[in-house]
Amino acid sequence: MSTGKSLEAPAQQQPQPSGSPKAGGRFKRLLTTENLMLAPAITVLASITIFPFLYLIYASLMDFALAMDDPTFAGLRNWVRLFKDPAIAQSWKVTLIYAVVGLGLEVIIGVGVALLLYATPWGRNIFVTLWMLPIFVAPVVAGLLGWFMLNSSYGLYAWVLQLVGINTDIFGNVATALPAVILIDVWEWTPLITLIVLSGLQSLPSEPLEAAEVDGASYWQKLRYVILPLSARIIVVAMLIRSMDIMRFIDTIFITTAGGPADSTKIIGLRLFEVAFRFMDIGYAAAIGLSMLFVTILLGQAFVKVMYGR
Amino acid sequence: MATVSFKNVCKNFGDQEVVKNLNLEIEDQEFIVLVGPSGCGKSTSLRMLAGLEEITSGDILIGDTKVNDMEPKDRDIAMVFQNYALYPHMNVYDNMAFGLKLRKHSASEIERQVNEAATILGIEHLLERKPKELSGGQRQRVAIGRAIVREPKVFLMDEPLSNLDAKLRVQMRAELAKLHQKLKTTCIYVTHDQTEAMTMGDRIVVMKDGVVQQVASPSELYNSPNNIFVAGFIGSPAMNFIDCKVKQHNGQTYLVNEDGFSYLIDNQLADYNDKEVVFGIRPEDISYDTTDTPKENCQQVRVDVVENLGAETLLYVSFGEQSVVCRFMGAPKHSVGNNINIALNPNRYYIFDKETGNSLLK
Ligand SMILES: Nc1ncnc2c1ncn2[C@@H]1O[C@H](COP(=O)(O)OP(=O)(O)O)[C@@H](O)[C@H]1O
Ligand SMILES: [Mg+2]
Repeated sequence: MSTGKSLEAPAQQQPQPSGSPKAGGRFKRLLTTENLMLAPAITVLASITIFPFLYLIYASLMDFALAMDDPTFAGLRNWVRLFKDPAIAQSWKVTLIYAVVGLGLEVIIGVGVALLLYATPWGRNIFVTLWMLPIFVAPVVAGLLGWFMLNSSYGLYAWVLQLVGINTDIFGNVATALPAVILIDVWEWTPLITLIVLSGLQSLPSEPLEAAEVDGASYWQKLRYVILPLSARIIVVAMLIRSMDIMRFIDTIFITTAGGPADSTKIIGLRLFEVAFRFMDIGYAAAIGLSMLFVTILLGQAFVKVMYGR
Repeated sequence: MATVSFKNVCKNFGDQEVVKNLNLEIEDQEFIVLVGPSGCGKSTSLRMLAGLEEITSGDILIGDTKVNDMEPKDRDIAMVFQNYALYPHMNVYDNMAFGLKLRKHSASEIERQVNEAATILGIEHLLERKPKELSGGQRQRVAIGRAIVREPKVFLMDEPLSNLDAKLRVQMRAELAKLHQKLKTTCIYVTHDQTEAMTMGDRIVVMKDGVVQQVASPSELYNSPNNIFVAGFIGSPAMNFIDCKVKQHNGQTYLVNEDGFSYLIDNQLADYNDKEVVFGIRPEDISYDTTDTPKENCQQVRVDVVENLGAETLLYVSFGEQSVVCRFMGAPKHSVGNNINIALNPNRYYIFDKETGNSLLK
């Protein structure tokens, strides 16, 4: 092995001054053992992510509306439409509310429960397991469950609400549908935040916390000045994971309200689904999808900046 | 500043007894060192005093106040942890100011105190840095600074120098001693290093397996150890131990064994005639015997290893099955394999009960 290399090296160096064989040498260097061994992985990766991505860009420039198998060139028409369509703006607005309110509640409750569990000396495992149960439920089933519970004719929660005088079809009312689907999301995903944050808390070094106690900090001061700053990063990670999730989430809403009433729960993922598979407008859907990808990347960047910035 | 008392303090983890019946009265302004091998319960004792560990039974008093059920924050102590335990997200200034801020000192007061402590410790130029941008020695200073700005009743230090390199350790040792002379705050210092204990402590508490073996000044520990454990733990290189029997002969008492060892003692040890005891002698109490005629308390030995330390020489010698370390001033005069005569100081010896390990000279 080593002798082969030492023989090869001068052979490569010699022709270089003449200039022309340089490209051949570079190609040869590409065919090294390690690159050849990487090739299958790169091929698979390319075929499942890069080519679909390129195809998506191509599709966003085409018009599929007339014939699915014979698209015509549309130029930037889909993109112009994307920025003018009030329905898209509406969906982004719903998505924003869904993400900010839902994620806000999930972080507050999730971190709160994680802190409680962290301070609990006994029974932590049992409680964590119980608290985690909703995560194991498929989102579609979570949607069905919510739908049953809140159904105006036989839902348990709807019945309770009726007892206190709230008498409405929860998923059929513009005022209550969005809060209801947000609460289902909170029910299902708060435990995930707890799980991530609790694992972060448990890996905190114990000595700075003890130092704070000796320094004279009460529990709340310790929380405010030591525990939270030290676990800020893990909380941001949890928020990042969840916010990207919300961006492409449709299951529960699809089951409970299908985006209605009056588009009041039609988050952007659901809008994309509808454009692609109900209106079969693949070109426009591709443009929407790419815009979502763009927003997701920006979001990710922002979170990473918060985490590592300063 | 305050006194500290441990009264019959015990600590169990599950059914493991980690500290057994600790009784200790620490005086105001005293620098007391807890020393013992790893796992003997030193840190646990300190953490009980700090309130970081519950007491299983007994009482701990700071001044005249019983603190058993008091929160750490109310005990008015400051602690330096082995791994420094700085707040990683705060800079040096905030690390030192944190305790003062919690106690609602005014901003100008905090600044004055932090700057004063920083000057004492020579870290004024580091105040803006985060802990991860500091060397081990600098972190250590910050940790000490955080403790001294508070002006607490008691300082607790848990192996504060054990993460430093040898040279820095010696330097910090001297600085800590100076600091204590200046501040005069009662200080409880934990270490597993007997040199640190001997050089720093007003009094030393030697612990083993959760039990206090002896509480005494450094010179008393060195000169009259209570038992074989303390004798072997204090002093470096460690004391030599030789198993032997007490024999009365012509009205005099000798310690002898099968390797041909014989040592005349001025103590009668009447109760121990014919019984097994352990003879102890420190490496520095052995000298060369230059005369060739056999004498009392001399022994012919073979040189196994020679360690030249410059100012002094350590000679590892043996006779029969028995190995002995000797410590001589100056350069080595012998080489490996030589047979030499050593003289054991007839006045500086120790004798311990073979069963209990207790000293028989008290
Ligand atoms: N939190 C704990 N739980 C169980 N055992 C412990 C705990 N802390 C210390 N111990 C045990 O107590 C003994 C004494 O520990 P420690 O006081 O830390 O010793 P050291 O003298 O080295 O500081 C050790 O055997 C250790 O394993
Ligand atoms: Mg320890």
